[in-house]
Amino acid sequence: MNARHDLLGDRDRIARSLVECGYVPDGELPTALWLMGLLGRPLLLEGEAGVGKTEVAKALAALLATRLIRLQCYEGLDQQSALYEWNYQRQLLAIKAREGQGDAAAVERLIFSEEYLLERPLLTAIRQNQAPVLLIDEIDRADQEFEALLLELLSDFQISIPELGTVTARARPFVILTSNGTRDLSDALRRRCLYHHIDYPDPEREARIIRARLPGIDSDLAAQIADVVGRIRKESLAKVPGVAETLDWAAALMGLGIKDLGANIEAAYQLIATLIKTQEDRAALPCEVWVRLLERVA
Amino acid sequence: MSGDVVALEGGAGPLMRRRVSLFLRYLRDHGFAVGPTDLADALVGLAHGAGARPYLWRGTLRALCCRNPKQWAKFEELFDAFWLTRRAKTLLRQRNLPSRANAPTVTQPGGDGPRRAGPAIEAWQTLSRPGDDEMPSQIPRTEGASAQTVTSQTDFKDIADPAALRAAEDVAVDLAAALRVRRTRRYRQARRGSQLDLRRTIRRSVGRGGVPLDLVRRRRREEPMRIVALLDASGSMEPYMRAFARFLRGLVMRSRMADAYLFHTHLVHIAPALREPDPQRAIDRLVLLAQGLGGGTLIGESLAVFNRFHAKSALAGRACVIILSDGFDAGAPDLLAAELAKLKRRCRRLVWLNPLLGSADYRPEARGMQAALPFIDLLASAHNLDSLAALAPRLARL
Repeated sequence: MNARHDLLGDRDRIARSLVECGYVPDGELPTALWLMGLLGRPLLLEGEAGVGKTEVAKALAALLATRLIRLQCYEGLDQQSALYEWNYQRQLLAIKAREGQGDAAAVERLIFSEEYLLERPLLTAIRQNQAPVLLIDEIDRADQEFEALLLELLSDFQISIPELGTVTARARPFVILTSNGTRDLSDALRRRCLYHHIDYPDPEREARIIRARLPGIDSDLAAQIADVVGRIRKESLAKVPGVAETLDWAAALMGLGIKDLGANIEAAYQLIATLIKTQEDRAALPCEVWVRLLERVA
Repeated sequence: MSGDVVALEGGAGPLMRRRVSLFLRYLRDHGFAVGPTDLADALVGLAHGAGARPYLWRGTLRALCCRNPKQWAKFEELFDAFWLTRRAKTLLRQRNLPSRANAPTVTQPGGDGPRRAGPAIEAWQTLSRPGDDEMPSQIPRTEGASAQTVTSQTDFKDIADPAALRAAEDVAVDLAAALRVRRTRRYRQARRGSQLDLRRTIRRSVGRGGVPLDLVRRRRREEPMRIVALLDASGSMEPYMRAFARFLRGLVMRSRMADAYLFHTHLVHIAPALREPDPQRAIDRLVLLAQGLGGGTLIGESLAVFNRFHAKSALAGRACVIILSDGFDAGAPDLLAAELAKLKRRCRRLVWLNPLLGSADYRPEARGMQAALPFIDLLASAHNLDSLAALAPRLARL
């Protein structure tokens, strides 16, 4: 366990490395990651869509210089697509090829060997030599049956395959689960996890994120963008723009060579498609409101 | 985070251990589900220097002890109150936090209490009398049926008989059962499934030298449909309130998947209150929740709140939404129509139960009702037990 702990270093080093990897964390995320390394518990990240939950896993993988294994959840996700599956077609071919020669037991041993096993993300994750980052994305989309399946894996980090025996993790993966809160997760799952809630960044942090992701950007422009987006989030919208939308908008503004939002209100409004994604919200933010928002910033 | 955190230096001495475990107990009193594992982990963290700096210690305990967004938001205040000095404690007292999260408080209506929420509240107080709810499931079915013949035709507003009110709960259960047809994306093995389960079929054929002799079939699994009920609690609905509150209680008590909200000018989530095992306490909690609501009805605004804040989780997996209202709306009909349209897109079925439909001369001419009509899958009357019972087959057919 100490080795895992040393991989990450202390909380302040994690915070610094995350920024180097292009992720600007909030105050408490580095502590949560540090604990994750120390205690070997999975980390459950919750927050609105587009606040950068998935990015945390990517940044952590970059920080550890390890593999990121991702399992995207959906309703009906089952053992065969999450854990492992036998390659039946190959097994059938093998049986046919050996028909009439040799004993049946040998054939059976052959077709239920590793060679015929198809790894799915969870099995892949526990068979790595170097501890990978396992991202179980949008766990709230999977159903409760799948959650129960996960519980077993997350507490023991082993999978039993009846024909092969039990596979135990060579190196305990760093597990990150994300949830948008479309469904209540079970208490059992929550109890096993460390918890971190990610909010929309405040303008100051968002400006830092923009500068980290778009190194060429003018820092005044970044501050203006962050400020405007912060205000837009306070309007009553059906689909609040996330950090990804902010970055799209910033990139588009850079592409047009805009340096100051106040002087280019019209041009900035033309790019609203990068921020506002529904017709209804478009109607809620007419040009006049937009002008008011930008004038206040400039 | 100033420097006034107490006793963080010095690693995990016995004093510090005691303080950590006291803190966890303190969190438990505030509804956090923390246990011995978390205590052990906190001490491991402490041994590795988590207590070296205040922000580190706060972050450590927060990641360990919080389980959901509500606790996440509440944690900071609790941490400050426990670990910081006196200054913070007065702050906490000013904010008037309850000492126990779920301690139900029972208040008497009227008198010098807070502003009363219209006449509806008084009706609920008498909704459930002692002895009215003694093990309803043990009453023989035949007796229930014969009792029903007396009251099932009677309009809800004329019912005061506890047995009849209890029957409203039973009807709710039948109704929920009629809706059990949500097909999930998960398959299950079935003798007469419509699809061939190729994976299992091939798996079985391995034992027969690769010849698929045994065919395995599968079909989509079915789950109970979620039901979300929205109850109008305005003055005009008052006579029906007792029966409908019982009806909703029946829904949420017996079905894990049901949810209930109440609105007049605001929207309140009432399912947790209704799930209270003791009916009288359930009603008391309902009254508490409803207090502070105004007099009129703003159906559109209430639906907007529902759509914005609750629909995402409440309707997950597409639900059947039941609105219980007479359609007398003080808000703008356009807003009601727009919000209903939104709701309609997100739910599988939209049912509107209007108690006024029971009277022969009623026409749905209220502005609210007119605005709502285009979006409703089923508009039915709900003025007596018979009309509620008649609903089940109609819902099943939708």
